Amino acid sequence: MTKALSVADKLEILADAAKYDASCASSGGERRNSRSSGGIGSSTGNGICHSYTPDGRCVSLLKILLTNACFYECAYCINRRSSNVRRARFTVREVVDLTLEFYKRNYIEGLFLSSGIIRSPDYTMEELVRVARTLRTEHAFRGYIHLKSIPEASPDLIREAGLYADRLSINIELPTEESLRRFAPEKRTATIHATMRDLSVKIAGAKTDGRGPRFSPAGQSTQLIVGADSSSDSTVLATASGLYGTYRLKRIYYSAFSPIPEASTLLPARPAPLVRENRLYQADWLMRFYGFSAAEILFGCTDGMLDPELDPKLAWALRNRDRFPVDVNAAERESLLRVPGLGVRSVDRVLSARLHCRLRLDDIRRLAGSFRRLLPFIVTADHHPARLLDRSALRSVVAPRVRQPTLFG
Amino acid sequence: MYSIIIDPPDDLGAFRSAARRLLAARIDPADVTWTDCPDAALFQDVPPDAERIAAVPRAFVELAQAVACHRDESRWALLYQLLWRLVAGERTLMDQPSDTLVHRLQRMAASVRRDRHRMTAFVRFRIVEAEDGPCSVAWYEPQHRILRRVTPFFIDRFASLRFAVLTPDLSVHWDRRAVRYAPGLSRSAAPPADDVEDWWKRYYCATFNPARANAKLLDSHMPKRFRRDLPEADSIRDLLSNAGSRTDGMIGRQPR
Ligand code: SF4
Repeated sequence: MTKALSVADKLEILADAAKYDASCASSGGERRNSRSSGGIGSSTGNGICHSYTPDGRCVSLLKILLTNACFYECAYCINRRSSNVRRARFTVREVVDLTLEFYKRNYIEGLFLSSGIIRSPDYTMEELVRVARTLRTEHAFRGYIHLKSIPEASPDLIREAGLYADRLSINIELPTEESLRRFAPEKRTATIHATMRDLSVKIAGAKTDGRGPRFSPAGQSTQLIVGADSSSDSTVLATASGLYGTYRLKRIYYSAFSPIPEASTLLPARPAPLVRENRLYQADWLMRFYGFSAAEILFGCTDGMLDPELDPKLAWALRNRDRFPVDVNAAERESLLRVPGLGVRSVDRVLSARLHCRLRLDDIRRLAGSFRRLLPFIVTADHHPARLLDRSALRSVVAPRVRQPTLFG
Repeated sequence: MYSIIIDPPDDLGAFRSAARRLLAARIDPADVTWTDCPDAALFQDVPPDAERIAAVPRAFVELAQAVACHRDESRWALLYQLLWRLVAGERTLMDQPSDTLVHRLQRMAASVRRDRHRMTAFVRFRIVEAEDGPCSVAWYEPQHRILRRVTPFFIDRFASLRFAVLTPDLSVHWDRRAVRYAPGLSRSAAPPADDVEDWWKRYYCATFNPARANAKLLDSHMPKRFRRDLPEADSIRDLLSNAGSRTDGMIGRQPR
């Protein structure tokens, strides 16, 4: 037997084991405070990033596993049965105390708790639910709670989890059933989908019946690992748009496969390029907020892969030059949203400003973020770039020089 | 020429009552100077509140609430110019973000909003044992004068705890029932680190994946000037400089 681990040692091991989950969001919950509850915690509905790690990722929640022991054998996971990592397990009380102590110091918005599967899916889920129940009922904790739901756990446990959690998630992990069978032999696509469906029905039910029991008010999310199997971006985006459509997911996280210590030989030796993850997030954004379909985004892409050098909106515009330039004084919202460099906020500002005057370039400079890139694509009262679009060198005019990729950049 | 003193410097109420009197007397913005400094009293003869002026749009009030916290010395003069034009008949001015004045004020308001959001994120409490029980104390340096505006956020969150937030301009104390403001304090008033802080630093290191190191992205989200009082930020240099070798180690160790 090794000597007992201190809580700080466990924290290190179990945070390290949880860091491959990309989600750390604390948004979308209910508005609430602790002015009369006697407990602590509040939520404004907008998430807060209390810090950023040196990879630029938001630290919003205490993101840990209850235990990194697991009897599953998912090849991409550092915690799988055959891995040689140091194992640790928190007690329910330890997680509750850590959450409260971190919260009181304003380090975090709340807890994101997940776990390896020990003994049985029900046993594991019951432990996760106990943490959430203790925080909510014993400590009147009003901060954010995100629980991982174990797909095979019983419906009663899931119902209770939804009562305490702001968000539930199940990671789909791989974009195709075949890859899942190969890399995660104990997991079943059908079970994961059934649980997602069940969650989406319960989430929608609780939303429409305001007086019924609460159920995961910030919805559900999932994570897809890209670059571990050979699926193309088009497979990934088709899966994603199916998931958004069918289960009303709040978010899909794309996680570029990243090397892990004790890696399985099934996996590629090299990390997937982060720029691939970045392009997928941009494409995901275009589908959700800009009215693009997956097919439009991928049309003409080689081997179903997004162009790593161009953001997908610009790439689409270059393939559809006949749609440009767009007149900012006349075009509909849908067309404005398709202009590279015009975001949702800028479009709304343009729409409101043009009610009062004919917009000129100087106005656009004040209303939009990336002004220079916009020029070939728009018409204003004093700017008519029609000829520019005929130039075959347009790509070199508007495309940024290849640079160090930054996520969400 | 009129000289108006607004003290304390974020007192929107004082601005409002002065502006109302100036407008009622139709005093042109060019004839007014605004200052925070109580000793600058030269021409204090603001006319009395003679007649009611037209109601201002809600959007102006919201803008003014934010701009009032800004450190730019021209904030009151700009707000009065905007008010002057609104009252003079430019009723839709607030919907014209392309107007130079509106644009400038909106950028100031956005800067204040970002600063408020940052403060809710980056304040770090340390728990101090006092005679009458534990108290959470934080020292923080906001960019603008936002403490009064951010205090309700901390009360919502920590109503059942005693806490104090100290800033160079102003301090606030919450005793679980009432708020009390006190003079500002310098960084030397910051409380010493407590034990949990060390756990937090270890957590911060453990939750970082060296294979994804990206200093530029980190700097864009959390610029260096905001890291000075974040305990976890001490580790950033080492984490970044060791990231490459840790990642190579993982790739090299693969059995193949
Ligand atoms: S179930 Fe699979 S992914 Fe989850 S902890 Fe176990 S091995 Fe890792």
